[in-house]
Amino acid sequence: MILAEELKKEYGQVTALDINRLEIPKGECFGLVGNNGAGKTTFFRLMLDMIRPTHGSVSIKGENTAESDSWKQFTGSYLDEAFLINYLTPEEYFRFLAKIYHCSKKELSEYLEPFSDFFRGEVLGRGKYIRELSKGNIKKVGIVSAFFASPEIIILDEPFENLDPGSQIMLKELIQKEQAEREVTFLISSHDLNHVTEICDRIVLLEKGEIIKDLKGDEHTLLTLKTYFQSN
Amino acid sequence: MGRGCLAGCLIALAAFLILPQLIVIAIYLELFIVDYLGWSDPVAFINTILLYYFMLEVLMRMFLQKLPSMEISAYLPHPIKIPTLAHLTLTGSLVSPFIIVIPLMLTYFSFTAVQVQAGVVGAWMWYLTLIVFNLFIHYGMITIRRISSERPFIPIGLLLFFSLLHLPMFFDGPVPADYTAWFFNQAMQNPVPLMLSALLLSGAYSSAFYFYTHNYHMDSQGDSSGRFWKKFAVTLPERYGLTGTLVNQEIRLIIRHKRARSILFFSLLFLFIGLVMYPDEEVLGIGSHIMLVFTGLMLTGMFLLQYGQFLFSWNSGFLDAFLAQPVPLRDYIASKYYLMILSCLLLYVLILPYAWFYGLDILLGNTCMLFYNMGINVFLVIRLGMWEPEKLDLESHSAFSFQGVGLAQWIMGLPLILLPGLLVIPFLAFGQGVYGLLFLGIMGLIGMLLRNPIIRLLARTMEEKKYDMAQSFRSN
Repeated sequence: MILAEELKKEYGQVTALDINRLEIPKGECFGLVGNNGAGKTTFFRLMLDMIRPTHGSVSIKGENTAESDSWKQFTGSYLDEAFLINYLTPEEYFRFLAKIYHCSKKELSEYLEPFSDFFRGEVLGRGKYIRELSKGNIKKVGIVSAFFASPEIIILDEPFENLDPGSQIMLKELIQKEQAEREVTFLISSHDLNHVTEICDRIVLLEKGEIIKDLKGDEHTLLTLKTYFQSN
Repeated sequence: MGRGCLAGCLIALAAFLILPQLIVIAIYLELFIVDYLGWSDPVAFINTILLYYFMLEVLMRMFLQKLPSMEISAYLPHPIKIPTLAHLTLTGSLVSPFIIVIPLMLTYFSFTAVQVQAGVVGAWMWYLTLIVFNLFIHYGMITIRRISSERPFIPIGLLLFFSLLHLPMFFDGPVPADYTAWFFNQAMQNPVPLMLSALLLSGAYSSAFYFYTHNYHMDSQGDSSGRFWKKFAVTLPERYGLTGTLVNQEIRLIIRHKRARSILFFSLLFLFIGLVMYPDEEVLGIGSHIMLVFTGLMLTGMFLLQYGQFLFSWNSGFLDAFLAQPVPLRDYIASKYYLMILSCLLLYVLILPYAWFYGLDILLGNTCMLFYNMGINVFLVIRLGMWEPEKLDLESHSAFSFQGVGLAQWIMGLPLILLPGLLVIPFLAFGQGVYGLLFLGIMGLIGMLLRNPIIRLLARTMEEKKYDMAQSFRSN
């Protein structure tokens, strides 16, 4: 589904990312962990054709993401607040997405319907701009926009950050449901080892731009990771 | 960092150049009114135009004045009495460009021209009346702005009121400026206008004070001034596809941010410059076509030039949103194009009456320059906008903020204005200014006909440039 080959990003002398080969099959829930500056966000941005690689490429379904746009139709992503048009109300923003993905009004409300619990009535119908919402609610708008229009791939950077405990649990359920029902491929980066080991089938540990560990997600993973981060 | 520093230096230089000029104007104000404008009584002239100055001030405050609100939040957790805080906030609000205009421009005038006519006491009374009246407007507007954030019809009502005030004038009725002139004329002779102004001021201050002491909680002042603009939804109909949606998005951006709004406001205000330029015989003489080029260019293109200066920077907070979503850059560029030409068309329609009053030459000039703006300058603005755009802070509350202005933005304005001037020079040399105008118009028309291929070309350029643009918007 996703293939990164000889992918390298350098800023001057500093190597931000250097991945020889990384393949993510369809339906996998792929977790990315690592300290600050390990290259997690850089990897996602390279994938999404938001920065230019120094070398190599990322392809989705065999297509180089820097050369075509077709992958955007089935790839949902939310990395940070710059992914949201923050002077719109959430409704206006979702209507904008509906326009981009050619959804009717009815389809739009069908898409949003499963998220009504997730929003806890604090996001829609409040007459607030996105920028006036709390950090957690902004994150929710971003996450729902990544889930929008039934994508085949969903990329989330630090999705659990700023969410209240209830919402974190709900998000995990949403991810598991999408994965089970529609075989959605997830790419999730997180500092929360508990969450990421709980939901991910596979966890890659990045350090200074390089893949240090490529682990299968099972009951031992959490301990392995904890031991690693304690010793470093 | 070097470029930001340079921009700062340029601004300091501009202030350094403008301030002495204002002081010089203030000193020679009397001479200017008598010799240049031909009024024999300079005081009567000032008294007459004061109405328009105050009206302008009210309108500018309506759109641009910063409401003194959030500053109070830093003190709320501490044991300071609310009335003290309210007085503090209201006094602090006096630090405002609107407050210094009258002292700056009229102090010298009061104690020369007015003093000659009315004596020392008269000059003082006149001067103080003006200051106190200005303070009344200051606090009155704070109250009105606070109230009107919930009731958007108040500013519209105010505009209507100002216009209706002048209606009788056209049927040989009373001229409103005569009444204010009489009022300030009386101020030189007896203390009643001063007392009246003081009464108005205390009323305005008390109402503002009342408002602040009764609405001091964060949630009751918060973003209420922004809510007022939420209700203005001037948008294109849905049928223009994704491009139309993007244009609507940008219209919302302009309406909802003070900095963008003030550009719109100034573009509209700038239209009045025609009143000064066009009646001048020289402008409409034979050698005047160069003036028609520049007035046409600026009047129809003011918004294009000003807003286009930051064309992509306006989106610096969320360009990633467009890159991550399946938004074709062609549609994105096209939305910029259509927004800009809509602004040109709007301004063009608003200045049509000038042709009625001052002759058809103006219509020709403005039409040709409208085409030039719509067919040439708009593409230059889009292309130049991709050249080292800087991150722009939309939340910045100041209307006159220079944050995000880099060297590139200063330089890019030049070709837009100078190029058409250079292009008509050969025509002027042979005394064929009309053909020069037509030439520019036809160039514009050709550009408009070629808009689709040009937009595609610009989209391809942005395909290359988008990484650098997005990166400069991300870094802080």
